[in-house]
Amino acid sequence: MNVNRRMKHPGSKGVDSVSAPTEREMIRIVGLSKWFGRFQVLNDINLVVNRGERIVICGPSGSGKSTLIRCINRLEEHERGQIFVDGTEVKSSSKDREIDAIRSEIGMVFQHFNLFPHLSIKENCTLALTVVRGMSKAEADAVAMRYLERVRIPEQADKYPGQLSGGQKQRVAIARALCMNPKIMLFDEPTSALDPEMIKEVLDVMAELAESGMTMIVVSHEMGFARMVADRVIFMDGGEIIEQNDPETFFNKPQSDRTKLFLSQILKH
Amino acid sequence: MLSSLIDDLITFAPPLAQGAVLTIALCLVSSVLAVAIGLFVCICRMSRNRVTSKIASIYIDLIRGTPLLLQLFYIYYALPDIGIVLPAFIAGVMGLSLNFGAYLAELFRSGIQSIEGGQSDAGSALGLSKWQRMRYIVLPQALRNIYPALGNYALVLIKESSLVAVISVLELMRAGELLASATFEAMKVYTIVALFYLAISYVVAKMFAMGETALAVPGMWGTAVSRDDDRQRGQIGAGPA
Repeated sequence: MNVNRRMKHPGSKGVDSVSAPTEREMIRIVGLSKWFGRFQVLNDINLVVNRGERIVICGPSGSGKSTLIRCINRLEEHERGQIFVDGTEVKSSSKDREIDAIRSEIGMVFQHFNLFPHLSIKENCTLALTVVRGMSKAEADAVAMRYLERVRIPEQADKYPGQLSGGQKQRVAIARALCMNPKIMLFDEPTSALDPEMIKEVLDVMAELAESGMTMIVVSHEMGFARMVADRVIFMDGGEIIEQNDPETFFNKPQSDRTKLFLSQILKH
Repeated sequence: MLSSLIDDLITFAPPLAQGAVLTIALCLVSSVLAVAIGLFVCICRMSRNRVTSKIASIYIDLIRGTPLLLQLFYIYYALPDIGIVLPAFIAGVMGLSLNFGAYLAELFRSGIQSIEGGQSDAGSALGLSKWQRMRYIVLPQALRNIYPALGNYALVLIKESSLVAVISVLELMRAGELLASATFEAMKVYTIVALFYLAISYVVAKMFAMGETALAVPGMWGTAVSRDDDRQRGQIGAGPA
């Protein structure tokens, strides 16, 4: 990986006021709470993500990390608080069409890839381009091939997901999301389901994407990646943001006991 | 022995063939209607609207809880009591398609529910609408999952269609019955009737097998991976492995 570490981002100190989103902000989350039945998964989350910022969220399982990023493109609905994506509020009452429009601007990569097994690799990439964007097949094919080249698997274009390795599948999933030319990329534990030898090829692609200035939120326990690529690392536990800081400070001088415990547990081996 | 069998075929096959044609017509019309009813009932059954969903499940319970024979009697002999008189063929089609529609509704539901939520999530994240996710992501995979069972139902329908003989539709079974009692050649006639059913079923089973090959996706079903690799190496053609 060849990544220059960035200076600590000015927007990385959390949110104090509930003001309207500014031009520089890509995502603003204010007082977000969510329950699954009686169980509260998110508790008063406040978070601002600026354009081009790269954020890594870590925390123990069940801490609400995945749920938080799934709220951003409303794969989960929230009960309290507000979420703004590029100035547009994502509401429970939003019309389906509005939500679909917001979603098409946000790329998402899943732990289990979620490629469409009945479609070829190229068709996985072109489906939304033709169906949502209304592109012709030829145009969509060209876009798909451009991004498949970028993730270094153009030669797999006519194969099917079932014929690819985990690392290849995840790179296809990244290409599929990039084809829509999103403003934001969300990664939900993108390397957790991969065999160890395939993790690097996926992280390399993600690091390159970060280099290109994409706004990224990555839920991951890849601490090496966080150190190299993140502008800010967020630690969540029990549905709350416990701590957030630039990677240097986060790893070397963690503030809370829970963060220290968590880091000692995942860095031990 | 063989020549006498051929003689019997020449004697008995033509009148039975007319019955076979009617059986095929009955099954074709009924299966198309059954798929339409099945899809509609399945959508209602899976609807978030509780009333719609309840009505659909009552329908499914009623149909699956009573014999097809009774349903045919009901449509043909009981409905006239309230002024609804249907021609025998129409009554037969109605009975078969309403009956199979209920079973297909549940089959379709099982197919849709077999597709894991991550597939729909991925579609949502790309901005596909609910209908587009159904159309391009869920249904094509669901169809592949239920396809072998769908073939089973088609074969069951062909044979269950013999029940409409009892409401005087002159299909294959009824034609055999009449011919056997007119000629006192029950053994010969029913053997030929059986051959007709076997032939129709065989063709339908073959058609479904061809469809399965056409729908096959490399890597989606266990065996298909190596088949595709073989195909790429030019060792075998596109036929079923």
